[in-house]
Amino acid sequence: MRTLLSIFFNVILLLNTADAPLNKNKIVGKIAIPTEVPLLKRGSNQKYCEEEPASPRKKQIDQENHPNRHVVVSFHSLDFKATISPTTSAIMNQMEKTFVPKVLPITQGSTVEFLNSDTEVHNIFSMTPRATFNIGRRQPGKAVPQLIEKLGLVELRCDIHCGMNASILSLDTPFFTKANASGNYEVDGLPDGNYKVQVYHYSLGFVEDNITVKGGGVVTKNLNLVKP
Amino acid sequence: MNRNTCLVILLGFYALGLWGQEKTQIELNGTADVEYLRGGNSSHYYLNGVHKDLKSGAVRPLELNLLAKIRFNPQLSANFRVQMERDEGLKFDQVRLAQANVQWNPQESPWQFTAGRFVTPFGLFSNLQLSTARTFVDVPLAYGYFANISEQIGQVDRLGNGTQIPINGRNEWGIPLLYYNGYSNGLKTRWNFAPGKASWEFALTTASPNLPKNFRFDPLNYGLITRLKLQPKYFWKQGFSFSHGKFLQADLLNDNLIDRSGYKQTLLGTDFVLGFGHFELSGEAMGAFYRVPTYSPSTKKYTTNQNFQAFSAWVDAKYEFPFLVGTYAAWRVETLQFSGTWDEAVLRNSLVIGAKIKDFILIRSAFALQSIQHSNTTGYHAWRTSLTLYF
Repeated sequence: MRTLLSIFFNVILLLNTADAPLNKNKIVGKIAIPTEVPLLKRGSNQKYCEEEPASPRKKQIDQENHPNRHVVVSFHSLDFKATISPTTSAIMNQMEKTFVPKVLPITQGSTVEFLNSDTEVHNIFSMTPRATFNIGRRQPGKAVPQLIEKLGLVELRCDIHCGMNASILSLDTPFFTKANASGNYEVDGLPDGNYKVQVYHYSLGFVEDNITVKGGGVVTKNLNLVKP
Repeated sequence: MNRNTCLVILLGFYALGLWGQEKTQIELNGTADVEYLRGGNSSHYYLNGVHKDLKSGAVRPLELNLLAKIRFNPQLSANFRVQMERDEGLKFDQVRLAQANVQWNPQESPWQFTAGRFVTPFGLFSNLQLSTARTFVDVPLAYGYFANISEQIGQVDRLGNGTQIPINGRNEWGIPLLYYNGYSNGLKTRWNFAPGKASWEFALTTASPNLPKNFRFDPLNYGLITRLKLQPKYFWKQGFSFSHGKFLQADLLNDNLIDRSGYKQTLLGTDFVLGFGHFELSGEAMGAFYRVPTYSPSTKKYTTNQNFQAFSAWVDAKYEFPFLVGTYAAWRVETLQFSGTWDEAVLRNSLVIGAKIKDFILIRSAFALQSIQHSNTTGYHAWRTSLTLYF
């Protein structure tokens, strides 16, 4: 009798976990990004900034921090609710009066460490609804943790330095990555099913599409941010 | 600047935008300020910023700005600001091209060069030209105060509020004590010689910064303006400013002055910003030194080579409420002192509460209590609540 009960409960357990298919698929692709995109976006606090002569370090940061280098691709299941765990080592740095990176993708419920790597005080605040915070002026070298519970974009500003802005992209999926400088990306471990594909570019916003993966293979999905 | 000129500039911006889509990166933005203002019985635009006709309370547009930044390449850009505001604080019909310059940031260089009409690099408020960057609705006294000195006839006792002298159809109120509207014409360079620690600005301009009509080029006039910015500690920024220049304009009224070029304005200033957590303390001390002729309206004669000095200091204490993101309260105390009987000393205390409702909406409500030395007259207080939108 005990054995029969054990088999029964194991079958029930198996049926419950069968929601998430067992096959693991890989998606690769290329994001077509316009070579010239606005560095700013509407609503940023960079409307009226007196530009300063840039130090060599700042120029290097600006190049590496170009919005084209921070394109986030994410896959959101349309069939099941994916299990997410907090992103580890989620760091938003402040260097040469610039947020680095320009876009930080995390899973919802992660804690972001705000680090000041400059020689002067910075503050970070967000006016994004359901993610409002102001961590005040912080001394160099000090990291301040901030829990991000909101889903979606959290817009960051520094109230002291005109033009400092960045985004945290809080996602409800573990299947996301950043495209490399050429726009190529690769996401692994997606179970069989239908997904919404979402591409986020700091200046150009969101582009969405759908994809179906099955059988544990490699699927190519190219996306286009260039206006026709 | 008339409305047609403004229309041409706006069309020019639009054309640049169309052209810029192909050739350059162009950013067009703007700000709009509307305020409710109310003042005491002695209110006057030149004394407390509230026109006497609005002292019982009124809602008026305060300022409209259209901004354009055209980036031709990473090193070269052009910057424009068209500003619309109230004439003497009343009728909303003053349009000016506040900023129009070309800026060059050589690659891999700590230098920057600007030519045209640019932000006057004097004082802490050189970085706070737009209302979106300011804590209070008003600028400090020294920045908004009009001295008893005319750009045509020099110093006149009680000019404007006591002595009425019409020039070009308007009663003369004098020129700003420090600078006019925060912009000057000429060439400017900025040297970031110790990144994160120190930088230096130097400008050669067409006149001293107090001259309202500084678009004119007068070979007798010039100005030198310089500012050194230091950061001794991570929480402490210190600035030192100096300006020297000439401003007296050729006019039938001063034809009998032998040497106009002998009349000068010299400014000295130092400022600081200290920031800790949600608290910020900032302030500035300035001296304005004038060498001008004095004019007697009764005898219609000049006394040449007179020296006048004014000293000003202000301190702002600002606290951002961490539990109510985007809100703050601040207090400013400031004074303006004059040498001899040139003008009456002023003391002003101001309180402000501000709230950033959205990334592009700012509301501030400020109350200023102002007193004038040796004057029994009261009623200079002002209450200004402004709504700022930027897009």
